[in-house]
Amino acid sequence: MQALILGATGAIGRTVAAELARSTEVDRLWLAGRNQVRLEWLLDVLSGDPSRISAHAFDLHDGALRDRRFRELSPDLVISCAGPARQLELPCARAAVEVGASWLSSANDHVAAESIPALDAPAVAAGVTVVSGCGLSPGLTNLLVALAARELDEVEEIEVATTRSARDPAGQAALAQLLIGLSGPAPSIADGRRISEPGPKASHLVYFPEPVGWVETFAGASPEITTLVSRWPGLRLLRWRVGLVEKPAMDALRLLAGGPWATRFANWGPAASRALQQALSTWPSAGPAWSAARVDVRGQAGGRPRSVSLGVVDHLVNLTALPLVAAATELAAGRTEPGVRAPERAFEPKSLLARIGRRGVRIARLEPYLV
Amino acid sequence: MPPRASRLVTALGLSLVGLWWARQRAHSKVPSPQGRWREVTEDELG
Repeated sequence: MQALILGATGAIGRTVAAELARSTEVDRLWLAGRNQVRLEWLLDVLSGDPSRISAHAFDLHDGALRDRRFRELSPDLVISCAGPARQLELPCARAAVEVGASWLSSANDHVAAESIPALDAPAVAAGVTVVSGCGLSPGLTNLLVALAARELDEVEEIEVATTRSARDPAGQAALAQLLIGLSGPAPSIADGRRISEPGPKASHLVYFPEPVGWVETFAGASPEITTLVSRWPGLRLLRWRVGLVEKPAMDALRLLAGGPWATRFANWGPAASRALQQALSTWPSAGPAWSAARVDVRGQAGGRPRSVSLGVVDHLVNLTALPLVAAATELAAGRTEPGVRAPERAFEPKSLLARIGRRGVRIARLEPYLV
Repeated sequence: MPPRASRLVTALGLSLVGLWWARQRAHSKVPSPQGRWREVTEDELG
C-alpha cells in the first residue's frame, strides 16, 4: 500500500507517521504538511529508507496545488490528520477519490460530516472507501457503540461523552475543533426527534474510566449525531457531550465559545491555537493529564431493559492516532466495501478494537455498584 | 495593633476560613464512583 499522510507534522500526524513507518503493510509513505523544516525534522526522526518515506510540503488550502500533488503521488490511501475539517474535509476527500485513493481522516466536524455522503457514488465508481472521522470521536466512539449494541436486541438510547485534559497536548487543530464544536447549538435526538440543544449551558456529570473519574460535560456538536442515526434510525435519544477535566479551564473555554468570534477561531491560524493551548495548559490540575471517552447504550435484551457502558482512557494523541493506524492497515488489506462508510460499518468493530488494543488503548466496561 | 487593623486582620482571617469551608463543601458534592471499570480482555473481543 502507498499512503499519503496529510498534516503529518501535527501531533496526531506524527504519531500516525511513526506507527505506519514501522508497519509492513505500507510499502511507500508520503508525509505532507505546510512546514518544510518540520517535515525534514520528522523524516530525520523516523530515520526511514528514503526510497520508502519522503516528505512533500504544500498547503491543502491551495486546491490546484493539492490536486496536482495527489495526481503526481497517486497514493492508494490518503490519511488526513489536518484541520480545520470544515474547510478541508470535503475538497480533500473528493480529490483523493478522483485519483483513485481511499480516504481516512480524523475529522470531527459535524457540518463536514453531513457533506461527505455526496462522495458515495464517486467512491463506489472508483472502487475506493471513504471513512471520514476515524479518530477518537467520531471513530473509537462509533466502534464502542457498535460493540455495546451487539449485547442488545434493540437499541433505544445512545449517549457519547468525551473529555480531555487541558494539559494533554494534542495539537492546534484538535483544540480549534473543540471550540467550534462548543460554539452554536448542539444537535441531538430526544423523544425520537432531532432537536438543537443550546450548546454549552446545562452541565452533566459523567463518570469516565479511572484515573479521570467524574467530569462536568456539556452538549456539543459532533458527527456521531449523523452517523449513528443512519445505523440505528429508531433511536429515542442520542446525545454527545464534551468537557475538560479541569473545570476552570472548561469554564474559560465555554466563555470563549459563547463569543461571536468562536466560529471563526479556526481561521485565526496556528498562532492563535497555540496561544490558547498554552493558556489552557497552565491551568493547575489536581489530576493526571489523561483524556477519555465513554459510551452508554441502552435498550432491550431478552425482553428486559439493559444498559451497556464502555470507555477508554489514554492520552488524546493515542486515542486519536491509533484508531487511524488500525483502520489504515485494515484498508490496506482491502477488506472494506467501496463507498462512504462510517467506522462501525467499514470495519468489524471487535476486530478493529482488538487491533487498537494491541497497540495499547484498552477498552473498559463499567460494572455499576448495586445500591 | 490599632483597632482598625485588628478588625481588618480578623475579617481577612474569617474570609479565608470561609473560602476554605466553601471549597470543602463544593468538593464534597462530587458523587462517589458510579461503579468499577473493568478491562475488556482480548478474549472477549474475540
